[in-house]
Amino acid sequence: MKKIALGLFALFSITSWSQTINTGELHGNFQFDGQLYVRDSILDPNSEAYPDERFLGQGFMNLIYTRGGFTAGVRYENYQNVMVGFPQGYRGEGVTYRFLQYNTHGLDVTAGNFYEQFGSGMILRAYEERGLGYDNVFDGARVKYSKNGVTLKGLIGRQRKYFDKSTGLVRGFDAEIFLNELLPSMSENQTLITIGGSFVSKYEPDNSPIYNLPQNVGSWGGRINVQKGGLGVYAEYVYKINDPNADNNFIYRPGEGLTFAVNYANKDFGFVVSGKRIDNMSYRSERTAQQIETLINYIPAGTRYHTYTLPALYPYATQINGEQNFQVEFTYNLKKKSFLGGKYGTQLFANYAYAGSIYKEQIDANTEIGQAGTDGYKTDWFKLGQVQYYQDFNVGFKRKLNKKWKMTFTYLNVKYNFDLLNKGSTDKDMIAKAPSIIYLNEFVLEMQYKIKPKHYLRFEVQGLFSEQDSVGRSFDQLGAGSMVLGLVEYSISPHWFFSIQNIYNFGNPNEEFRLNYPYVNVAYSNGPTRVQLGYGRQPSGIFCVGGVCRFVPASNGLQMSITSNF
Amino acid sequence: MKKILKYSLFILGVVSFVACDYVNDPFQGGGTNPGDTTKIYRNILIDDFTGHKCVNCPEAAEMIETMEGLAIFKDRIVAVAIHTGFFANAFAAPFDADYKTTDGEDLAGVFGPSQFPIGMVNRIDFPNDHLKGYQSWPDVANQFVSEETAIDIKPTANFNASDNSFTIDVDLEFREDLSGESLKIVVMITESGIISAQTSHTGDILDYEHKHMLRGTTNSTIGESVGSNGMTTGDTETYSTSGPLPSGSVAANTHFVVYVYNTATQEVLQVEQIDLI
Repeated sequence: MKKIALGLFALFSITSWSQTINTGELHGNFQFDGQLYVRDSILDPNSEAYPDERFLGQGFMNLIYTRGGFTAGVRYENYQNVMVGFPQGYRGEGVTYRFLQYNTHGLDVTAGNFYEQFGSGMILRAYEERGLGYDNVFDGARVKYSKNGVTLKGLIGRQRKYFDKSTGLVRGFDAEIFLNELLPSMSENQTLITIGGSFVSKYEPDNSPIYNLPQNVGSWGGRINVQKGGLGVYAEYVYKINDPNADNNFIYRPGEGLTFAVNYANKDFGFVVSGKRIDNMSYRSERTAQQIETLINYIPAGTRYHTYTLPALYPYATQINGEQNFQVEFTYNLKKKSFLGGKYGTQLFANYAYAGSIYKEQIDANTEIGQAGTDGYKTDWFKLGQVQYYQDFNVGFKRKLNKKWKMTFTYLNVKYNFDLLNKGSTDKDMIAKAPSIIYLNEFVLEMQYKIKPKHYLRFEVQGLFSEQDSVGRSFDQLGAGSMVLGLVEYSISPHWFFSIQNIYNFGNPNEEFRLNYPYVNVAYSNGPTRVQLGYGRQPSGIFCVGGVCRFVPASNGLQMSITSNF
Repeated sequence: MKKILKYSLFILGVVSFVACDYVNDPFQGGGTNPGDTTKIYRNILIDDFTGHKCVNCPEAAEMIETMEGLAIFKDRIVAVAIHTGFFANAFAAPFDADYKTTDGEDLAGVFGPSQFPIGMVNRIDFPNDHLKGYQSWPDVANQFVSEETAIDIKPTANFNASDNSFTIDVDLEFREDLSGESLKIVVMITESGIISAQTSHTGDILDYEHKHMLRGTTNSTIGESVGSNGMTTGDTETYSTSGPLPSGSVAANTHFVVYVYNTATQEVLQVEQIDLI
């Protein structure tokens, strides 16, 4: 096995190195992901996940050079060709990110590409999420200045759209003031207060022969963050003027959003209460862009992000056209050597999240909800929306049983609006006709066992029990119904990792699709470099954003991944 | 510091004022057709990747009809509905019809639609930004409204009812110097008036009328080279193709879409549509 790993290194890996050039430093990282697709006539009878190329690979390399206050960076990306399930716009290769930056006496100037965030990102956030194919980086100029607790930011640029740029231009300004540092009278105050305000505007030419479109769309927001001891309170409000676009079906209603979070933590206890109300806050630098293209802002889901495999099959995604959401989360540590806490102590956790539509009603009897060219609808801040999107209640504990064993148990109860989250139905559709809701009861049991120093075993047993899953699934039967998962991992620190997993879709309403999805994985790490190989089946899914759906077909094949940094 | 804050607020105020357009009258009148009869304008091919189980696809079809009805695009829109991908698979009745075609799958293989509905406008911006959401089609098509064509296409169709066969004759005239370009001509067969089930936001529509549905091509999706007589301004050429109608096609509802494209960019330079009868 060692010889195989060394051979793979010889083929693919970048030697781990870091070197000083004069007084500067050069760092970087490299990643390659590829898949050899195997024909699977049961999963994929029409060969939709069996590309002509048979083998597809994509990757990137970042190089960052720093010397004193000067930084320069470049990233090369290649998609040869883009892997199944990723946006096809990525086909090709080239330098997609380069910048020059210097920082002196509180002044920070960037020319070229940059990522940025104002406040929580509700009116501006540029970031990269490579696993999703998401990258809305700016190409332009940015200036930041910080002094005496005041931070000012100004930027102008165009956003990335695959290997091109958006047609829209974005301008933004943000000011944030840490009052305890700015005001001498507050410097000794135990209550820490930060306030901020932003303004963002996009310009996009109006080429429509149908609508008179606003070419300059402005948005602004204000925020406050108060911290005292373990207690923190954050609130932010944003507003956007008329912005007819493909997401909101070209309605002219202004957008607005409010988010808040209250959190508290001490040694044994912690809680977070958060919520938001979003109304028509799709904000893109290209008004007809699709799915994850050219989004200027970012609105978090506000529900717990599950990383275990089966719970992650039914994720929630923020509905940028409108949403009410709140979440409560608790953690509590039972003391060591107590009756309930056991010898090593036990952590209890619970989480409840709700997401639904905002209340909507017709503007008048002749105007449908969301009708293009109108203000769309009337709403009321103090009424609950008519449609439930998602609900998640999960509870569990983590406990060390003895010197060898640790365990984590989680139970989840989920309501999942299939019509919205998989088929892209609109509020208007779901107000007129009740949507299909999938009810899920799930559990995850994770056990870790230390065989001897550097040798560990990890087991997972997961169950997903689905009710009314056939409702609304007139064609997307693959992966429907109840399923169980078993996983065994064996790791030899710090080099080797092996795992074998199987999902059995025993409860599929269609007997033909009661399939096993086996997957085996092996990885070898050497310092900052890791090579991973996996083989098996992956289940399918449909993802919809703003009424446009992307089908990610089930696939079967050999996957490989190489990562390295220096 | 007070100065910085003061100036910042001033800048913010100015930018806020100038960088917002409030619209009181959302609708235009549909634009104006250039209407100069002495000129031959470039037409607009809309490739609409669709499927009968795609819930949003009727909206894309409606957009094509809206565009066809706008004065600015009068007689300039040629649409082809290519049924492909997962949503176009044959399922249980009433979605048991298979409207996929070999040529449609070839086009999907080249252009790679992975979400539906999605389309192309004269197939511009290949290979990274050629797939465009249906709401963008009018805006993108607008750029061709005043553009004269570089090549004129005049097709004629003859139908032989006795053996259900057709002949398409095409006269080509170069109106710009296109020497050095690699151009090919493709003749597509499309059909309207097909009544069959379609999923929509309001539920399944059992008697949905599918229009412009791709039935095949006469000379493959790659097509055949043009320019044998030269490609400078004024050069002319004729092209002819024939064959049987696809099985089950209704002659009265059949159209032929003839287009010339640049093989280096995939961009369609000109397109014309003619009814079989």
